[in-house]
Amino acid sequence: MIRAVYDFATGPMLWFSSAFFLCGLAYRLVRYRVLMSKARQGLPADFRPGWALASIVHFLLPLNRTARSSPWSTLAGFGLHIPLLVVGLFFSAHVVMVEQRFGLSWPTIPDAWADGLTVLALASLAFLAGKRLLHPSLKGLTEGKDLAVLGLVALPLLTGFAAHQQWGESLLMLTLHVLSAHAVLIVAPFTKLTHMALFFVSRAATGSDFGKREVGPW
Amino acid sequence: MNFDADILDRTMKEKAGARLEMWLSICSRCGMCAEGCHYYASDPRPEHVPSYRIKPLLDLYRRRGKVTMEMLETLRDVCYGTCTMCQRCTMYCPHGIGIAALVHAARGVAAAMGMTPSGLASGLQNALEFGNNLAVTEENFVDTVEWQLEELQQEMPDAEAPMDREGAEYLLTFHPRDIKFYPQNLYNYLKLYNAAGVDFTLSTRAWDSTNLGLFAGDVPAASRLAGNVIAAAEALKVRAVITAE
Repeated sequence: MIRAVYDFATGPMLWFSSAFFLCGLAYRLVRYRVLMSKARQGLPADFRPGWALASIVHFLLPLNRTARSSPWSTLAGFGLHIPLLVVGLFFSAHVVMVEQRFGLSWPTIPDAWADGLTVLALASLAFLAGKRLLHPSLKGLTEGKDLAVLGLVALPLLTGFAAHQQWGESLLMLTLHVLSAHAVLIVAPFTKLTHMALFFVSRAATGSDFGKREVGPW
Repeated sequence: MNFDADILDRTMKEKAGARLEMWLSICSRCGMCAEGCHYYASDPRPEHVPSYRIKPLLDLYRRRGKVTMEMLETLRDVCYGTCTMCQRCTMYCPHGIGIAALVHAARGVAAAMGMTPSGLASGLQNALEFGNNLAVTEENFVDTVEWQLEELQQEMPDAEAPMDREGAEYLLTFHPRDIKFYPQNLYNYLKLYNAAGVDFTLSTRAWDSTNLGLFAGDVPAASRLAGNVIAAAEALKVRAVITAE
């Protein structure tokens, strides 16, 4: 029974989730583009690509005032996002799965790194959730959804780590890992997780806006 | 108290552009924007975290069709009462969310519903009627300029304050407060521009540098007020407009 679910989740469902994820994000980007060009009809073009790019770079790297004013949160932010990208894309088991299903392959990182990075990501998530729950001003702003998204992202990390450490029943852990990863891919285009695509758009828009006044928003 | 649901719906549709949609959906309420906010710096309450300011607007879109008067009142109080739209929060936001633009949109909704706070509404009415937000008449303005110029000429005999001079390089505009309550400031401006040898003119028609329409979120009024100054600047063929404060 679990085997059947696992096979389905790493087979047909993988195609579905990946396609849904990519189309969903593409939809958000195209929708932005269409709404924007409708609003800007007849107005002179005034986009500042240099400032837009600088704005993205200053926040992809900790070269901004937020990194100085909120160093711990910044650390947690990088501590979460770097592992997600690196382990997600370069962990050996992930690459092998992609190779089997889609016929593409690329280099991998040592498994020990993946373990370390996953622990770092979980610690960062715990910090961010803790800050939301305990910080006197953020407490009042936090909605159930905000914590749910953090929890959803933690699930594949926890189950993946457990599977790799062979905790509990290995096939069950692995199945839960793959299913929770699907859940992340499927909700990504329609929750705050959309920022994985719109971060670049928003930063570019604001960078260009501030750039018109010769000021960098960082 | 009741409100016109059709106007609300139409205004919300109008305001729901690409950026509003994007920004409302990606704000994670991480609160890092608080570091940039002067409201938060002086009184660190959850209501003063900038990302809180977009919550009433977000609630409006979430509960479209089921909006209550209470929600609109909250929107008005939060968006007019706890933000100066200085944009410092945007400089701290990792996503670069334009909170001021969202507050502006929220004020636009309130303005369309006739909920602009009364002090602001009467200033805006003055601006639309008299061309300046303190209802200074043209005669009063000209008198004040002449009076201050005479005072200045005691100290600086060659000082001038040309009125409606075509072809000047700059058109000077002022905060109406400086004309009505603090003419000494006008004196200092004139002294500064004369000493610097700047080629400037004043306009009897368009001299208010403020735009309460913009501040109120009333876009048609804001365009009209900005249009006044632009029309005067073009008629006088100046190269640039200098705005105060």
